[in-house]
Amino acid sequence: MPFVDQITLEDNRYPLRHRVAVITGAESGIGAATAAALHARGAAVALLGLDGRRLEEQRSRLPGDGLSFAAVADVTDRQAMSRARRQIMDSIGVPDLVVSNAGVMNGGPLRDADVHDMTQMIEVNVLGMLHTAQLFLPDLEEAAVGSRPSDLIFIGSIAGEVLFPNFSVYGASQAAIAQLARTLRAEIGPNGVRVKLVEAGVTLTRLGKGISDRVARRELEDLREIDLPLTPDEVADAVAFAATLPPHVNLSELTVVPTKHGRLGAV
Amino acid sequence: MSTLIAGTPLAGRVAVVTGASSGIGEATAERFAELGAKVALLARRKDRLEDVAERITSKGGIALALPTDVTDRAAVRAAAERISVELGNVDLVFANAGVQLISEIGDLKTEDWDAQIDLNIKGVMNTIQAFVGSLEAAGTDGRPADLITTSSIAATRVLEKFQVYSGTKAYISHITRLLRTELGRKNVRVSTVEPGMVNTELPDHVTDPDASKLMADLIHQIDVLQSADVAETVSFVAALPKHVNLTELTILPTAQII
Ligand SMILES: NC(=O)c1ccc[n+]([C@@H]2O[C@H](COP(=O)([O-])OP(=O)(O)OC[C@H]3O[C@@H](n4cnc5c(N)ncnc54)[C@H](OP(=O)(O)O)[C@@H]3O)[C@@H](O)[C@H]2O)c1
Repeated sequence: MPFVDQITLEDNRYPLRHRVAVITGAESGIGAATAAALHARGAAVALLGLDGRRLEEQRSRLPGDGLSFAAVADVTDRQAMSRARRQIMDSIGVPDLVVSNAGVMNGGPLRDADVHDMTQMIEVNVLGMLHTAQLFLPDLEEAAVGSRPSDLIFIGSIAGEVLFPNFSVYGASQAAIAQLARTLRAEIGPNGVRVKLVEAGVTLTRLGKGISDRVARRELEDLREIDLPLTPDEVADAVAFAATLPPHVNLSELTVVPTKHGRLGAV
Repeated sequence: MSTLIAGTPLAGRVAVVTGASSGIGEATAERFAELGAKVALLARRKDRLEDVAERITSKGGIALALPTDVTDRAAVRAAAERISVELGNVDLVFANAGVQLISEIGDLKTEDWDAQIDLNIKGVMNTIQAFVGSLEAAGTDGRPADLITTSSIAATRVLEKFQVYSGTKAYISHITRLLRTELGRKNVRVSTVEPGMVNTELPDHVTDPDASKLMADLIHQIDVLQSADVAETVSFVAALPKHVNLTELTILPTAQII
């Protein structure tokens, strides 16, 4: 096969080769699936998360000989994130595709909510996303120079748009993420960084596994009981598609839900 | 735009595209056909539709050009009958025809108001009335079924003098959420795409100098979207596994601020 044709083939199969991706909350769920989807399309990937053993397990499962890296870093710990950033640059290169995904969900009536749970949701979901965005922004802006693709992708939830009683703090954190993503998009889009907001509907992951309130847990289980909910891979596919579009195209907001979940939440 | 979707994931599908004679609709109809769907092309300009159909068939695809004014409810129903006879049961509808006319409210350009309401709202409702039964049947049979509309970022932005156009697009975006509550359980996916600036014939109809300048400047200053960019994204929505509904999408030129 002539050399030029080989390049085309590579382009089609590995459209994200030469990209360096960072995914927070990559030890399971949508984060792990996104790392795998980006890696399968040729990107070097850095998996960040809290659980070193599970991160390494996800990393070692990535097929092929593409670059990958895993490090323990809590998104709420600015120093740890900053250290992880330097390690990523040393091991796989300067990031140009950051997926801010780490999040936690708790639930229950606000009146009875545990202060620690409330605080944690705001710290991880909101402050964690802010730290991630701010730390990697210089890299993303540098990557975008010369019309090269550069992505900052926030994984949010439909709970930022529709109302789920008993999930007020979670919903508020998701609304914050949405507005952060939309505002940043207008702020740094002109510099070539594609800021995106992905609002996922009910997806089968470990999210919410620690909910202690019985009513909230029941509500979540009911939502997940529909036939054919989303799998993390399906959300990851949408993220990978968006990242693969040409640099001048920003699929800036997308909401992905299971087809059967026509009606959701209280309103 | 290099294409991202491989193979023929839309093989076996029967698609209808309104506004298929130019811009986003034309590009999407062609992409649907390349990906394996049989495509019915609706718009008013017969010669343009025949050119598109010709291009599709010359590449081995199947297309049916049906010159139709979608503001005419009976005409859309008649087109639907011909499609079901000639191509089969429609399971992919791209209700995309639209027009954008900009003026100050005090200018009372009531004809322009009506033209937008008649096409952007009623035209879409006419398309829905003609095909919703066919979509529900496909969904109930366990086949993929899609109702995809073209809204606009105008649905959520506050742009001076865009009041009627934005209002019609807000209608489209919101009805997407509402239709999901009825059609989702019948396995029909409902999606809307809200594009930013796309290089099409849309701005050609605008007579307001400020709005014309706004769009011309954008096209001049930034790398705006091409119809093929939107076509690839709409095709991705239709090609997903049938339980995955990418229901609301905003697609913008990276550098567009608004
Ligand atoms: N271009 C943008 O920047 C942009 C941004 C956001 C949203 N949109 C939306 O995208 C959609 C497609 O527009 P476009 O940008 O591709 O513009 P376009 O090139 O002007 O295409 C409009 C299409 O609608 C058809 N149409 C107009 N009146 C019709 C009627 N009465 N019955 C049937 N078809 C009719 C036109 O064909 P005939 O004239 O042959 O009938 C043409 O095929 C519209 O809904 C528009 O509002 C465009």
